[in-house]
Amino acid sequence: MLSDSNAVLERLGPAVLPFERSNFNREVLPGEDVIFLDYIISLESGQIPADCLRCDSSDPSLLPSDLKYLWVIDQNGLRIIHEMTPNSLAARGCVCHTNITGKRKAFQGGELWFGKDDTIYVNNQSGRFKAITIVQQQAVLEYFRRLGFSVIQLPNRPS
Amino acid sequence: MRSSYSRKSVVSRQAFRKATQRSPIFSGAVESGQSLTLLSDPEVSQFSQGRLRNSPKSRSQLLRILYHNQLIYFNPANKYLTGPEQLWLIESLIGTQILNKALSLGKLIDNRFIESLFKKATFTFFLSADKAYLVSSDDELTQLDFGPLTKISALTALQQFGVTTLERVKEKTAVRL
Repeated sequence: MLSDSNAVLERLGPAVLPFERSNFNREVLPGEDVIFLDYIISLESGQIPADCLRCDSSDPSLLPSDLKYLWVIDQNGLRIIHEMTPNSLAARGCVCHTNITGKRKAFQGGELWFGKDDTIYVNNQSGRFKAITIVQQQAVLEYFRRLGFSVIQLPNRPS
Repeated sequence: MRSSYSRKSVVSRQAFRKATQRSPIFSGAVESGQSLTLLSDPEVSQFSQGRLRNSPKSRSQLLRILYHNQLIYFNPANKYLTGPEQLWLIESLIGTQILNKALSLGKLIDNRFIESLFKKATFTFFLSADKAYLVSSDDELTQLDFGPLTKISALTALQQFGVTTLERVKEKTAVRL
């Protein structure tokens, strides 16, 4: 978690329970709250892990789904998990944002891709922890940048 | 007889064979052992004794499944779910408590049952200004991304786009139509 991040966190939040910002305010399904500790990667070091999957960043509109990561910012900072990580404990079959957080609160969530040029492409597409204001969206970008990343906001319009 | 059915769904072996012939996904779900568990027909009968209300008349064409500890009937001819392995989509959208309560009152999952759940739903969906996207909420950021939104009811969304698309919208906030 950023040491001087109070102002940013204020704009990111408040932290919410899964689905609290949506009109699907309800419980998490079985298996979707299991925390996949061995598959979660923290980005709080400001470094892109060497073994992360990367994509050709020449055309952000064609980012492949198999290289997609889910990201969450919560009290433990910015953490990601590869979306195609299998989750045989859930009917969905693959992980979701609450497999990072459990049933606990988070400030924001979305999807991201790592470009080969170290650029990170992010959107706010999380049904559980999505941004609902422009201030929150801008605060997400600021959080990434203050960690040292070069980040580009993607439109939240799926292709 | 298994000692506990908690968090598992049960389908008779005969129904399982029919379903797996039709749907490879169903087979995978059973093999994973997470959402569906097999029972022999006698086991299902034992379990159902004294527990069924509103039993359907033509059971031969229905799949018997045990879902959240309730023996229910699934009509494969319904137009929203390809098989009982997709029941979680309904649960994800409607909510576990509401679905369980509805299942305790009506034991037959068919078009009417599914539509009644969505007719009573308190959530809605929204169409983008260009009608190319279905989105899950109407807020400042969503309007920035999609333009002015048109609200549609959960039932209308169900009938127009189906359960899989609606669950995707809920999980990812938006889907291109």
